[in-house]
Amino acid sequence: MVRNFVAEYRQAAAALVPTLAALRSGRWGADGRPELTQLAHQLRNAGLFLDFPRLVTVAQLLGELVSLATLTSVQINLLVACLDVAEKLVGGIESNQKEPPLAGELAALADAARQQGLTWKPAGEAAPPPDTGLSDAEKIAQLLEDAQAPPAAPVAATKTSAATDMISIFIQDAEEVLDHSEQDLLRLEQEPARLHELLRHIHTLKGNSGLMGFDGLQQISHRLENVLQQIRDGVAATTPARIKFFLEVVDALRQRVALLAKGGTANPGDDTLWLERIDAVLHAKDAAGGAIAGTVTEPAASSLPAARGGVRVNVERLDHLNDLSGELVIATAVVNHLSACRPGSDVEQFNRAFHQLNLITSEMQDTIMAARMVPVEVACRRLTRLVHELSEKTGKPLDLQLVGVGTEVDRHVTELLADPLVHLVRNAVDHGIESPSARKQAGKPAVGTIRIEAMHHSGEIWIIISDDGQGLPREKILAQARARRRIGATEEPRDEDLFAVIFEPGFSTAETVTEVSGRGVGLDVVRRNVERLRGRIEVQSRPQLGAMLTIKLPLTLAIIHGMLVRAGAEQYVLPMLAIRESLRVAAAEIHQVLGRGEMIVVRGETMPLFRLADLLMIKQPAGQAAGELVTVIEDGDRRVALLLDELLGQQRLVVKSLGDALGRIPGVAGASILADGRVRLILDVPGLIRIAHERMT
Amino acid sequence: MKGEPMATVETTAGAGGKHLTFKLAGEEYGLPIGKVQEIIQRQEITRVPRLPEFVSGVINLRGKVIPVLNLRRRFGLPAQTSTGRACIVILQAPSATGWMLTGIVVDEVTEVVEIPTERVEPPPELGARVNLAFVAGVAQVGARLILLLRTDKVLDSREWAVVEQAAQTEKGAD
Repeated sequence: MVRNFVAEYRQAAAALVPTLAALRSGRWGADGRPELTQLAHQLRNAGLFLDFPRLVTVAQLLGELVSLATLTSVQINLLVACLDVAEKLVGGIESNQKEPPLAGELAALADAARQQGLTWKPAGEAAPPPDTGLSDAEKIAQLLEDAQAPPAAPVAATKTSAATDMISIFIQDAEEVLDHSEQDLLRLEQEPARLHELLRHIHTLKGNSGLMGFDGLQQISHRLENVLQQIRDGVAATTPARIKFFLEVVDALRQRVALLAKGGTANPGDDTLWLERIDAVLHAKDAAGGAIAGTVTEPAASSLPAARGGVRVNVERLDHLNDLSGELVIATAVVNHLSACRPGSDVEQFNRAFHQLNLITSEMQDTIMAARMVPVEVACRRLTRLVHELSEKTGKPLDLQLVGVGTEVDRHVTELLADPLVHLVRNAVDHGIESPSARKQAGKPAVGTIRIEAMHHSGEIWIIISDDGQGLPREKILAQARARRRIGATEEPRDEDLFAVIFEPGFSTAETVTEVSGRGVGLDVVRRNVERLRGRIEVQSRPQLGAMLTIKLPLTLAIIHGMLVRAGAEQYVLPMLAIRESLRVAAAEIHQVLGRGEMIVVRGETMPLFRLADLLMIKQPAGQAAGELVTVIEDGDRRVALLLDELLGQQRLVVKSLGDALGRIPGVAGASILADGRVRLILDVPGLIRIAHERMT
Repeated sequence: MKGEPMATVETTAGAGGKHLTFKLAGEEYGLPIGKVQEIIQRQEITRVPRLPEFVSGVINLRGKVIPVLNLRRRFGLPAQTSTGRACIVILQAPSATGWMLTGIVVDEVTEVVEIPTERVEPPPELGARVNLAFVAGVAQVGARLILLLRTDKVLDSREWAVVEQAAQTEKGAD
């Protein structure tokens, strides 16, 4: 283990030669920073794990220096001195398995650090390592034993809130690192250079797990790292079987992280099994002997995508900020309202001030909402793996294309979209893409393409999932829709009306023949999640050319365009997205249906007519004259006409929740505060239509 | 149960301390001052469908939408057109996810009064026009008789959900 560490260090140090040369001549270029940070991290972790306190102290100082924005010449010298001392410590460790004392050098470093106001934490002095009289090998053996004895984590035993914070940060990091590792593994065959990145990820995980005392995680990632290093050094080759195995290891690591997230220990009890399995790969080498892949060369640092600068923000705080900015919008609206009804001398001045306030408010809100934004890519993370597995399972060669997935959406959108995307991709593979032989016959390339494209389009986010398969089985869907009486027996629906049926719960299953089976449950989830995001789905399909689903989502969830309407004494907000049209009707056009309800005919289409107050079950003063204003609301292809008294105009509104106390009220989506400070309820159109349909049956 | 520790504090034995007193249908009531966030002027209340009668609706409290209860209806007292002095007392109530603000409409706020614990008697068996479950005790301050309320019972939002279900059953029946 010590040997491994020394080898790692030598390698890292070799990469630093140019940086070091520049430093020695007094130049500090920020380009050396990532490597130096990595080195400091590596030394610190190794020092903590292998119990070399002096190394830890020096590494901490090194890390702190590297994190400074600019360095004075004194600080550069100190940095060089740190590296020199680290080199000497590692040298001593290599030859004697022990840290050399280096008292003079360390004292000099300590003085210099204190003069610069930097931290010097002599780990060795504060907590001298208990001399158990064990050799290093024995200590390591003991560590391994501890790793297998649950509960292993000392952290778990004393869960202070700080420790819980640390754990949650660790979990987030680990999840991210494992996601990236998985991506690297999946692309490893095509892009061998990804190995370096992969090694870095696993290394990070190992280090962090070690710091947190999650021994199982650390041990497994350590062994995995060893195997990967062998591949890098050309001792072992990358084979599909190995990649598959590594993916399994990643899953095992993930399982441990998931256990931690649930508040347990990161130990499902099969650590030993995994360690043995990895070791088996380690010792198997390559049976074929000569068939060893050429060593991989490290790509130039500049070709790697630059890490996105970011700050972790507590979601609750961000939500609060978001609320506050919403309130600011409201306050501005109030000022606006006042300015309109207050005749005064300084009107012009007031208007200017108001204009300024307006600008600031909208800019602030944009920024804060932007802080909640993440790329669509986040929702696509599982797909690469999924397609890889589906391809293996079905024997269909597949290509997943992700286009424009850098498009940013609200975090909430990616959370709700991840599952639907999995369902849709699975459907496309199972039902859309044909077998390679069928594709060949149809004159298509053997590799089936699934494409996910995200884009901005006229104030909406569009996410398009398309495949070049055989398209939707229109005839079968039509027959099924007729059987379910969703479409009249003689009616010849347009594609968009027909295909909307596939999203209904329970659609398809056994009756629609094996080819379409399974399309029922998944698509219902898709529809529900898209509805929750106040979006809609459109389906297009061409026989033999493929299917295309377009998910259209509003740009933001915090603000909606709403129509303020009056029904009797009450005012409500209807989301503009759900309004199809509004029209005036004569009383004679309203037909009674067997005394059970009312209906009207709009442009040849018959639809049920309801009074809003009835749907909401609000008591209205009796004898209210029926208005003649009708607004048609729609949810997918279901339409209902609402009898209203007045349309009061459109506006942008900040969406507020009614809170836990009032909970989910059927037909009500939330509330909003108008410019005059009054609260108005935002109606939930899909909910209203559901209520209406319940009434009719 | 979540409300338990609070309930013990508000029973007769420990019901003393500073209270905000207000008037409702001629009687005087007290609320522990610690539960009161603020008092605001009466404002237009937006009705919310499918809630029990005693929930008047929601109001805008500086950008937050909070529910408002009509205490007269909650206590089964006769309705009355508001006097000019009516106002809304904003209270903190425990909820499933922490703290929740709820307003109650009262006829008139009187004062904040220190009530010594020894002045608090258990709620009388007879004569009170108020459901005794809401009353922690009765305090005598000079010639005044103050009914001390148990905010956890008065604001128990679980009862709202029950009524919501009832409304749905009723709908199912027609």
